[in-house]
Amino acid sequence: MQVHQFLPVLDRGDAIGNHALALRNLLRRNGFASEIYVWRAGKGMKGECLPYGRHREVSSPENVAVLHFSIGSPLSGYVRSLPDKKVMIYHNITPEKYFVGISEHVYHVAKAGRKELASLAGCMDLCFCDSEFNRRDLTALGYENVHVVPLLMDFSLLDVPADGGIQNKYGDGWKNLIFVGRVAPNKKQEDVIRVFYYYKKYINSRSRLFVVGTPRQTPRYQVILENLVERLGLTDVVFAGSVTQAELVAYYKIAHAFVCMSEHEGFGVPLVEAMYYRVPIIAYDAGAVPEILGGAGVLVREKNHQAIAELLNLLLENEDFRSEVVRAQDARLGYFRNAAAFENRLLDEIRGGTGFRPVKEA
Amino acid sequence: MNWFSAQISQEKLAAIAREIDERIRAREKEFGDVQAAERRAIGDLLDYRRAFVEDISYDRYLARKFVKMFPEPDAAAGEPPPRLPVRLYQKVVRRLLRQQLVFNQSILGFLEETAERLSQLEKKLEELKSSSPPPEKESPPERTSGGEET
Repeated sequence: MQVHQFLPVLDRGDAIGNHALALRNLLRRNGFASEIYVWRAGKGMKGECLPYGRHREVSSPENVAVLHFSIGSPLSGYVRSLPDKKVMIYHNITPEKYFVGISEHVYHVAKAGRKELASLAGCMDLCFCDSEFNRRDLTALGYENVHVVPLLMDFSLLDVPADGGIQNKYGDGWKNLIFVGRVAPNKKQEDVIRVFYYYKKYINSRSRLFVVGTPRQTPRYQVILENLVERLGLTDVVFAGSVTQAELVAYYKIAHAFVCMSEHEGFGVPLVEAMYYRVPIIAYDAGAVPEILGGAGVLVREKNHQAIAELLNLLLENEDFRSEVVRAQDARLGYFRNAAAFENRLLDEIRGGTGFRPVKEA
Repeated sequence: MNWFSAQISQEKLAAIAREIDERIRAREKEFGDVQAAERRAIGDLLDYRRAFVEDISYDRYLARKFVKMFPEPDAAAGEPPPRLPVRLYQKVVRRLLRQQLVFNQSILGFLEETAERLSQLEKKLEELKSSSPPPEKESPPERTSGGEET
């Protein structure tokens, strides 16, 4: 009796990849034989996964196939064709509308993904979502037996030593603002830049903005952002691109505020990371963001960049305000750190929803 | 309801909101309509479909990458550039050209769509012109019988 996972790409440092690895380890600890099958292995990850073509050897109606769904891929069709019991973990698909004029390729992939998601509605025995926001997506498509269990996060990754170079270079008393996330039009880095523009130009010239995240899928959006910075005559905007774990830790450690203007988030791992580093958060009220914050941080409902810049300034200069916000974030972080509760729920649901019991391997 | 929320007392939230309003007003007095100035600077850049082609070309994005990946060969040393980076360069350039082609096609598609819509509108205008009756010539007011002035 085995529980295997399927995901299109297993990448190091990717939230979904980390979740899959954590779940695999959990399943193995609890007596299930468990592997991760992929369409493509990311750099340095070949030892952690197998090509999905090799799964046929172990496929059986006695086993469970867990499909991580976040984008259209051949895995959807493959899992649908299996005799195994089927479980989906849905991580959300960014609506294709965001990619019009930015990336034709991503537009079509996202659109195809939505179609695939709709077509899988009747095939799953059990579904998990990282957030209530994602659950609504599935139930609207007719999915049943859908449960919300947050992403399993490996917080030990956040304790790696920070990159000293970054800390030395930027830990100089200037106010450092940060946003972490793929450079993508739904994440609205453009709005973060516009908030920073007011803050830097009219409020505090000794400030920087770090835009951390890869532009690999949407380089055109990256160019638009760079043009925006130029047109606004802004300096001290650092596009860090894709970073190592040590660099990421360093950026969080030098940050004074995390500004998120994203309009579509299925979960928002960087929000939890910012809480971990006690960086006060200002975030736009959209997608799963309010749910992840759970009342912590500062949630804005209007995109008035000038007013948000003033709010940011008050958050940074008013110690009382800042410490209350961080205190609420600390309390919220406790919920996400309770991994044991999420793990038990996942296991219980898999056992209950699929009728399986683990068998300790000899 | 405020335009922002946080886990602090309502009084404090209200005080922060008031302070923000005051600061915005004070800045407006000093700098004028700063939002209008920002909008002018941005222009149509963030209207992704309508942004100028040259604004969203790959050139600048890639130029930066090229500098990192392919440092200028040292001419003084007189050595030929190593083969591997040259091959890599050619591979990257081919890929970029393909991407640029896809991008050009998408812009072309958008322009064609607009041209088609324009020609449809022109046709409609012609049809409307041809179907409506020609404007009548203004006739002098009819004389009513009787009532002639004497």
